Amino acid sequence: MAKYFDEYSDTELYKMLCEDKYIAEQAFTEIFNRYSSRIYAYCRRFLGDREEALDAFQETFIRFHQSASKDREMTNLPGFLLTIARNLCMNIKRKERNDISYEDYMAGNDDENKTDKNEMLDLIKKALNQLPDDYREVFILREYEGLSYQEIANMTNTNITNVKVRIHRAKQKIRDILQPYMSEL
Amino acid sequence: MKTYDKNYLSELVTQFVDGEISPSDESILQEALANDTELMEQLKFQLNLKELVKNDVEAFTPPSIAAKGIFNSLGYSSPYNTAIVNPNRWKTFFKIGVPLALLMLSSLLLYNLFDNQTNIESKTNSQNSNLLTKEQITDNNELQTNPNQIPVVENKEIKVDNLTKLNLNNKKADVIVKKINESSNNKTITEKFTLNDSFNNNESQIKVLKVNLSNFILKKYNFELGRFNNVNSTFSEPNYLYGGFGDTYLKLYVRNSQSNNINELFSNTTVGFSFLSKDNFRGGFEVGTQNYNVIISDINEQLITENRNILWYAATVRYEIKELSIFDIEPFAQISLGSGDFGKYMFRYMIGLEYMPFANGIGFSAGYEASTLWYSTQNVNYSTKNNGFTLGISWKF
Repeated sequence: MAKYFDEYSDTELYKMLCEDKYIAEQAFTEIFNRYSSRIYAYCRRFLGDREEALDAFQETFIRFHQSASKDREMTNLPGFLLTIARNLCMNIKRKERNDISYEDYMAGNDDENKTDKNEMLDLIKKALNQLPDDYREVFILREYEGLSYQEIANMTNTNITNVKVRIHRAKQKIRDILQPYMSEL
Repeated sequence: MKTYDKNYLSELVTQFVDGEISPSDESILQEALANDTELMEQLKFQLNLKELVKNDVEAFTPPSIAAKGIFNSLGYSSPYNTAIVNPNRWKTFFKIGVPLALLMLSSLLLYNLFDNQTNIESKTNSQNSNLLTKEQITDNNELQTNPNQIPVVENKEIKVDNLTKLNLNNKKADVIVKKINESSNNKTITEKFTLNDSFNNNESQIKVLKVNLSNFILKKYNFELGRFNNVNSTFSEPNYLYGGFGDTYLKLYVRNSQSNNINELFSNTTVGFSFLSKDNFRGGFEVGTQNYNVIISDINEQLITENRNILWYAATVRYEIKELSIFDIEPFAQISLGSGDFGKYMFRYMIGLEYMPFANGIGFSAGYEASTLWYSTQNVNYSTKNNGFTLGISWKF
């Protein structure tokens, strides 16, 4: 009996990306449905800027699709997607460090103000933006992506002890930033 | 008790919240938590932080414009529609209203066609017909020819010398019979009988001299899935006898939920109709407007929360607890399933009381109504709820 696309495993869906257009389209749609939220959350919170996050998010899925190959055995599709997203985000960050202007910085902050309605959430996002990249990243991978310490360690090419320390410090730093508003939390 | 470094314990809190703590460390932490309020505060903060992140809707919602961009780049058709910012209510109304009107019209035509055919057949076969005429009737006992059928008489006198049995099995109705009492100089007496169970069981004997049984049907105005029947309304003496068979009546109603804002008095209003399907059950259809807090995307594809007035429609089933009726006040419960001009699915339920002082006519209701609307914005599913006290007025035909 034919299966619905949402019944296929990630590995099967990945292989279908190399099939004819109809099957590939359906498989890609299913993969997109499964992981687009997580990938966008990573890009959005890691980069902070909405436009940059959109670019990274779109590019991630396009590159993912281009990578499809029948010979490749895809064992960890979300991890693969996250790796693509991470590389793209890192590139954007690196570029940003080189050519960021005051206007860009202000525009980015305005965007945040306009977007977020929930005050506490807004504060947390602002606190996140103040974290060093390596702290912010592990925090996002843990809290937004739900990865285990070991998975984070593998993804960021570091050891688990480092991950533990970074996550803890990230949370401590967020707490310090939010200290004046602690009664609301 | 062994003492540990504060930093170490603090790290254990993080690991505990993340579910990464080892069993030995967990017991150390639990012991420390019992005596350290600062540590407990840290734990509370981290749990709240986790909860807040979960509610970061904006981060977990890729804008549909981005999804479209990806699908277009790959040459695929985008399965994502941009969230409706300004729904076209008329479009929705016509989408529902036109099929419903066509269904009702076709049912009516089919029914009338079928009904006329039946009448022609019954007129041509007077032996088996339940159509009685003056010439045919010499004895009102002919009413017993087929007690399960509705006797139809076209405003004719029925003369009898003896007591006539009027047996309408399984029918419940108020029947008014105008009798001419021959023993008191043909003085006309109008009597009302209730065809209830005891009547059926005892086969009450009524001396009927003049009966307009067709009027019996005249007052019976059935509405069944868009099929209605109004038989012969041209009677010179329409008051001889009237009634109906059970509560098969059409009921129209309107109800309104509370609103604190005077400008929004009718923002939560429902209109509907229902008909009795079987015993205590009523089926029907409702259309209404109601305010819901919904997450939508604005013109910049940003997510915003808005209190939106939504036009909804739903099929309804009501259970009337006739057994608990006191002083014509009847409890009821109803559920509805439908959709709206914003949203995919809607579920509604209501419990309340209805006061129907007359067999036909006006009625009043009050109750508690709650609803849940499931909708999607930028390809993420959400639900929103509304509930409140509601008052209604109805008219039963």
